[in-house]
Amino acid sequence: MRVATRTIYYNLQKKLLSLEEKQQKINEQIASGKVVNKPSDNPLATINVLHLQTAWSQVQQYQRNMEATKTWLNLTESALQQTEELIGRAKEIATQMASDTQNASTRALAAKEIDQLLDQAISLANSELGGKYIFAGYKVNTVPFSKVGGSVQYNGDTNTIQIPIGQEESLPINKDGQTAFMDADIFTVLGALQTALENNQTAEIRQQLENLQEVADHFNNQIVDIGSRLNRLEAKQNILKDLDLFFQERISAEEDADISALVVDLKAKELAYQAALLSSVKIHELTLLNYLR
Amino acid sequence: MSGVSSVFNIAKGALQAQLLSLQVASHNLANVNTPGYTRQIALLETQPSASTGRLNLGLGVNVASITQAVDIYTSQTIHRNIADLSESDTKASTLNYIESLFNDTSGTGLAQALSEFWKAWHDLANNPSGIGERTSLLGKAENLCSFFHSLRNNLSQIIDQANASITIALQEVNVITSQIAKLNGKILEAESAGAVANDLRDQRNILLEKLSNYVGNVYLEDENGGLKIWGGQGLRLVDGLEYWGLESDDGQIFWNDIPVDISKRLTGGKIGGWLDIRDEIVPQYIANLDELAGTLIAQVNARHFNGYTLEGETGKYFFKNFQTAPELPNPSDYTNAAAYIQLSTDVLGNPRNIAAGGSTGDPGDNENALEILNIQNDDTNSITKWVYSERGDARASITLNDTLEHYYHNLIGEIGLLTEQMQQKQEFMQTFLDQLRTVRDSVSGVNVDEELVEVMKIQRAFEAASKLISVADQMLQSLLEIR
Repeated sequence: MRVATRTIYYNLQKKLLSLEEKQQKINEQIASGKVVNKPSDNPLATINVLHLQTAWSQVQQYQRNMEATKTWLNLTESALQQTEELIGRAKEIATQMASDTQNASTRALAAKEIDQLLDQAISLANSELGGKYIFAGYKVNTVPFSKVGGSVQYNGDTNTIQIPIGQEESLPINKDGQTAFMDADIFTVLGALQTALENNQTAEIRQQLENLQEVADHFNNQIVDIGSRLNRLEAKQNILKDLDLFFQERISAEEDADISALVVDLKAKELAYQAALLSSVKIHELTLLNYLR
Repeated sequence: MSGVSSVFNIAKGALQAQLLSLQVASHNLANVNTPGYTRQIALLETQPSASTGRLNLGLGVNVASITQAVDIYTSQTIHRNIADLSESDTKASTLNYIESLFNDTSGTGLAQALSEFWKAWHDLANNPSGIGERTSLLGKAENLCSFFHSLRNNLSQIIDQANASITIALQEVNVITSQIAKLNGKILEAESAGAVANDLRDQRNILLEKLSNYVGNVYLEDENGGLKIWGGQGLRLVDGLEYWGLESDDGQIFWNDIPVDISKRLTGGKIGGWLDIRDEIVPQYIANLDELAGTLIAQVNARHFNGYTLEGETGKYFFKNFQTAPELPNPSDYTNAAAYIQLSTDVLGNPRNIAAGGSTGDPGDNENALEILNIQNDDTNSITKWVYSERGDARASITLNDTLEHYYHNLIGEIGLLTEQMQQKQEFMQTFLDQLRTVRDSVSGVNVDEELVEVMKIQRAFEAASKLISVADQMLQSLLEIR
């Protein structure tokens, strides 16, 4: 086929431009470290990466949610444990005072200690986390337990606060005050014990000692329940940690560039570019004009 | 006539013919880089012979005509493909721009803003009474709204740009068709004597290629050498000396000042590309963006309305609601939602009015925040997806069940796919056209070496003719020396 002179130069230009474009593309990938820089680079990978990023960012959110949940549950557990210890102390006193060797004055003294324990129990039931009462149900800004006359009154509600820890999965983070304290009658029992001690009624003291055992059992159950939630939380945390890594790897596999392969590719393109430049010089030299004198 | 004087005549004719050939070769060499130039050939033929008695003597050489080395079939294919190429060129570069608007791969964009919005709801659920969390949520929501607005706005601007480009292109088309009509006249005039108006034809060809660049067309040469051109589907643009103009008015395109929109009949070229972008590609993305914004407003509001604010009030909207918005009377029609989406007056500047509570305004009640968070992963959400075709005349919608984020991700993927396809088409068309041009230039293009050889050949012939004159002169001299 005849080749027009302008075709030779046009093709040369095109070849050089297209090689430059390819080098630019590889440079972009090396600079960004990604093979997918625009949706059109790989539409399917783009959708995958976006889906994965959403899922990954949710996993990270669930992890953050769980940190908050954990603090809340830990504080609940420790408040309940301290209350349990307090009941233990009350039981000791009751056992001691139920003995016939005690008299009215020692019992009056013990009554004062029980009164202090009752105050301590109320203050534990009013535990706060960041200005919020943890045993108040939804009414986290209201002091949940207050002494009215001779008895203790609950001002909170019986709602359970749920925090999402996964898709369609949430964990209750609180124990409402009704379930945790009022249902066990802890304040009534302590109050009755105090009255019995003040009135020096041995039989009543024994009665309240039995009641205290029931209160202790109740708190033990509550602590076990919180403990099992914490276990569930930890297991979930481990799963999410794995998922976190999994998503990082998947996203990286979809969009990250293989730098060494790209560098080799770039070298090849450079070589082709140089060859094109060389041949352009050669073509320029080859003409009949050189032989016409 | 015969004898020595006849030799003089033959030599004279030969000198003239070689000089003419040299002129054609020079013209070719001079135009080696002229775009659209078609190589010319001086056709030599023997001078009609004269019979003297029983002999038939040749009378030398004559330039019969100067013709063009044209490849008609390739030229026509090139014209058609120029229109296709410039159409896909226009679309590819616009899609590149649209793609960059939707580019969320770098982690800044609507997808990111949407995900931040849900995170803010998470934070609120963790601390429903926190004013900091509430204020932050309103900030993220406003950010999301402004992403919707700017995307919507940028897409609308593409439509405005398309209209402006079409107006300019139509003016160009009118200039080109008027010039072609004028050239038709000149060619008719020049060729009436029988010669071929080579250079005028080259000019007309260049104009024809320019026209194909703007709009797809078909053309036909009549018996007098004039061109008839139809643009799009049977719209007469040029016929001999006559031409018909195209005008744009407020997005409509009129032919010959007849006020009927003929834009649907124009295809191919830049104008065809812009019309597809204006009436089909961009409106489809706008419609789908509106669906996303509308569905988000409807879903969030439906739940928010049932929740309780920190003040214990219920019945508040989070986003401005359709029913109460005069701009959007129909609650199921989400047209313009992406341009409209904004915070309701209930919550704007009033973070305590965010309804995080499910049953009370109690500070620990996060039930409704959880309810709203469920929207994020709800893949039973029904959301409409539009597919436009035939320049927006055919609009099909399907109802998908998917999460809002997946819907948007798929939208980005589709834009990527269309951009990729258009780029590939554009590259293919370019390569194809380059090949066609190589084929055409193998016939019509100038090759310097070839012309140089031609020049050497002519030079030798010229020398020979000169020698002939000197020989004839000597012979005449010898005769004259006879006493």
